[in-house]
Amino acid sequence: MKTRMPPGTVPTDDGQVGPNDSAAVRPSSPTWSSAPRAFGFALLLMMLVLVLVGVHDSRYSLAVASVAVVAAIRAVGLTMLVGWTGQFAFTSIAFFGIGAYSGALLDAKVGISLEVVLVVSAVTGLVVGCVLGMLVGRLQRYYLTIATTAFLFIMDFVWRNWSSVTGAVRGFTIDDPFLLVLGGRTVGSEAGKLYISCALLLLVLGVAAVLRRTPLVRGWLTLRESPAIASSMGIDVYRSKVACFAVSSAIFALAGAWFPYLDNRVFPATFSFELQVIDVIVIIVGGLGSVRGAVLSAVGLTVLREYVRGFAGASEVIFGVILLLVVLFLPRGIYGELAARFRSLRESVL
Amino acid sequence: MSNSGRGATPAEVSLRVEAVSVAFGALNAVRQACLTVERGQVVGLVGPNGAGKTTLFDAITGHVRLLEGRISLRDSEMSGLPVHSRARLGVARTFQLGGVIADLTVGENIALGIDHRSRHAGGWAPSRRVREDVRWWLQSFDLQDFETKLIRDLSQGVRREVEILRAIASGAELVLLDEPGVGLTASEKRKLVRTIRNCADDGKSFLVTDHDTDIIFDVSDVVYAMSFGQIIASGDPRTVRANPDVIATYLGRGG
Repeated sequence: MKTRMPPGTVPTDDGQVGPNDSAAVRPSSPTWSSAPRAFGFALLLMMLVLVLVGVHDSRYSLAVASVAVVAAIRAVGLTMLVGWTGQFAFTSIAFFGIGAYSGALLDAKVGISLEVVLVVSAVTGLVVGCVLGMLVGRLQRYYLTIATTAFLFIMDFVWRNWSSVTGAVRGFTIDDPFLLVLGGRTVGSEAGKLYISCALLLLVLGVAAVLRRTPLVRGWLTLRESPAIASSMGIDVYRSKVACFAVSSAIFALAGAWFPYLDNRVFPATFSFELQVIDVIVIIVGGLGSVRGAVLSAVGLTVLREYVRGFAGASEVIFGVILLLVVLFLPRGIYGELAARFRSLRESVL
Repeated sequence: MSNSGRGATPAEVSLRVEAVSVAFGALNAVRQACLTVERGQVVGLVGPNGAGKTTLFDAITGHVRLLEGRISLRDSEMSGLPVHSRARLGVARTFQLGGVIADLTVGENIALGIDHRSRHAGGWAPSRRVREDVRWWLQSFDLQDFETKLIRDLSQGVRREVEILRAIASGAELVLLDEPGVGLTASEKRKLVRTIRNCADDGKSFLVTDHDTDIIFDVSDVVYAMSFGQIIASGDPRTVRANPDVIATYLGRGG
């Protein structure tokens, strides 16, 4: 083996053969090999959405599209937490709320640009998510689900009852956002807001694609398979979980900070347990662990939910049936199944 | 033939297990086990089902807690450390049921080992460098064709090789192989023995257990035999194989 050393490789001090650790030998530039694919996919999806709503050309459909894109951002975060790391934690809506209230309060009290609001909320989510992760990081399976659901109910209680700050059940209103990158211009149109929603989704997809190549996420995927294997690979399982809680919470909070601008108000009924259940259904239907599947499924199910809004109880029934069908017949999720079919089709043709 | 790798340099102890006992409730899974692995040595562990081989492995890696005794790597005591800290000291292992990650590619599995090595060196390596290192290791094991294949699509033999390669690539000084021969064909087993011997010649230390005692006697410099949680014999492979207690154990009368 000693003879098969590539250039730039030296035996280490203790005589072991291995790639050289000195950074001087090799240029250090991260690869983004999967990022272009993810971006291409996102762009395609967005064009589809724009074409669809362009056909309708109504403010309502533009608003629905924005809600769907925000749901997709949450789905990416939840995919990291549940799909990649295997933590069945119901935190997306609690942090969606934390981001929404922290951002909207900042905007209402200080009147600051959208960029600052988004950054402050995401950092708030990161910090609170880190603390929550430290508290629940040692819980396993359904204990974790129960603890995080309790956290959602606690936050719901706060939103409803801390009336001097949150405006209780009725919430409060905020003005349209203004952006520094547009020279301080206010964005008030539904179309403009949809562009911002899409830009945020792109940002989050980019972050996910870059993270996917890092040791951090390789560690998450290992720990999903088995904490015993992860720790024997030198991964500190607890810290790794806390990091996942922090990163995913930042994404939920970012989505939350943007969401109130869609109809210029924030109120507690938005951040319901029902929406949490739907978020979980979304990532299961999309295919656990698949970012693209989660995005497609989030957009699809949100639009569907909007269409059946007029019929009482219909969405619960429809979502239940979809979940059942997917779990029974498409265990890899919609995207996983499509990808596999496509692959086998291509292989049989070529 | 298999002892060719031992140099004339004075023996340097890699792993030292001193009077280690592990109990699950009233069951003494391991009793007063003592064992040493020298640097560059392959040490085999044989014994029938339930003799406590895997439990001893778990005790060394930290997956179970000791009732008594000491375990040290080189000169650092690690009996009380959590699993990941022992791994960072230089202990790697493979798992009886396979420890490669099925949803990752071969390359990414090896990258886990590289990550481990970089963490030890104080941080993350940039991903391009990780990929170069992965390619280098895959080439040295003649596995380069599998780089982008998912583990779940590969045979048991390749999975085992990837798992061992990952342990080696992690820069570990001591590698524990728990049943590396399970599910391998005869030719894959021969390749496995060659691989282990090559790595030992490069200075890695191994502790190996397997149901296929032929592998153990073939690959090891020193063999320990366990029965009912105790080490009943040790020495060079031929002596242990001829030991009446060991024979009795395998014929089912021992204890």
